[in-house]
Amino acid sequence: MKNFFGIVLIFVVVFLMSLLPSIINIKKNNEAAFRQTLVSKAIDNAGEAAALACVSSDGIGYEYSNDKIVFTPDRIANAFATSMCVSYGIPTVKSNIDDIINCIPTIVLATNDGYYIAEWEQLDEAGAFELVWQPKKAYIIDSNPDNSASGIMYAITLDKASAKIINKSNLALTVTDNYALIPYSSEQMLQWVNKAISRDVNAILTRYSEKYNRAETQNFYLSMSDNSKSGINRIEQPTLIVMIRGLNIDNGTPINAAAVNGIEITDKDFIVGWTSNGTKYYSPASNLPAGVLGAKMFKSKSEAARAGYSPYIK
Amino acid sequence: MMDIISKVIGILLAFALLVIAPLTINTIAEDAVAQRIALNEVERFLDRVSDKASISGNDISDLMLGINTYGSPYDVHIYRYITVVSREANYILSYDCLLSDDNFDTLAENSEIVLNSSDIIQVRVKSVGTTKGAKLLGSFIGFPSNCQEFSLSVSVK
Repeated sequence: MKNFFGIVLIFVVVFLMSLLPSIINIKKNNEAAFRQTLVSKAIDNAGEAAALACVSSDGIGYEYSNDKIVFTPDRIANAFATSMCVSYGIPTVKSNIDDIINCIPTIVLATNDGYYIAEWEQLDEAGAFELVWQPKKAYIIDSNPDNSASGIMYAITLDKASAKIINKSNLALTVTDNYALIPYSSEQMLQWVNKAISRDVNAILTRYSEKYNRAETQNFYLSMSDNSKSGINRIEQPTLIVMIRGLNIDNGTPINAAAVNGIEITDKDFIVGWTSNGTKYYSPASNLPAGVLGAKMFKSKSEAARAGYSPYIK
Repeated sequence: MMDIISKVIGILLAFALLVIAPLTINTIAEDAVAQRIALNEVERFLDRVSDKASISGNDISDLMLGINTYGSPYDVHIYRYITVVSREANYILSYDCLLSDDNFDTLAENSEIVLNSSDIIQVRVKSVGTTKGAKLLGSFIGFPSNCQEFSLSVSVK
């Protein structure tokens, strides 16, 4: 009986000892899962902030008068990094923002009539690498890609508002909104657009890996079906994709992710400038203090700042 | 004598096996759920605030109620950062993110603060005191009871 009791005791002790690490594991796994959710939400929100920044920043061809808004990519990386910093409660100083931007291999901004793509480039031989936006590329379908002197090229838009048809043999240009002139189905056009974008992204990711001597395989792709469980769903409307590689903020596992945001504009706001006690202030029209007289309208905060107005903060 | 000692040890081990172990695992799971609920509530609040571009006293009391509903007490603070552009010398523009002095802690039920587009709203959540799970882990295993703290932000649309 005594022996039996002793054996049971040994079993209990062994069981308890094996339980201990598993309890600690459960605790650690819970923490890790929570951190992961937090990261994904922070990245989502940062992507949203970046999408907002490409609408509200100003640049070449920014039109407010005729309901036509041109997306400009200049502040996307900065807005993304700032939002990530605030999400994690770390100061939004330049070194922190640069650390986060350093983990972005490439950004794609697909608008209705073309796409922008950013790549790390060394601007001069001694200079540091910078994330530089390439010139906007149109969505072009070439009926005869092997021969540059024959065939027809079609420059299409995602919303099918207009198309340009270029005859390569005599360089005749036709601008039309009649998509019946284009001998491809909507499905084929979308596939063409998505293939062009994913080819460019893959090329940039490969160059980025070579630069950092990473032997990882790059397999970014935009899925061709609507509800794919892998990859990123295909681009059908203005979209912003921010790729993240090896981002490590809270000493956890480095994050490799992609923030994807669709962009749709429903409302717009003006910036109003006024003079109060000799100081020039600007503020969004929706948040003006009472009793402002002699106001001046601006298209963006940057334009107001350039005109010598300072931000008005209550 | 040895008999009594081994029996006492046996009873203690049985107690550990039958009571403390399941209790610890249970409270750890409860902590995780409470933390997840707090995160979801913060996300819901940020979505709402970002969509309607204003924060009212009702929004804040909803958030407090939602976060504290599971039993673990949390301290919640809301901050508003205003993105501004200012001109430095030679027409160089600097884009900054400034903390505004709006006080959301004392916002009355029916009053409302209107937000600008592209403002950043940050919610910081910190657990006050220790939970049952943390206490159990701390006293029986010596696991450090780390304070649960997180923050999340959103840009106003």
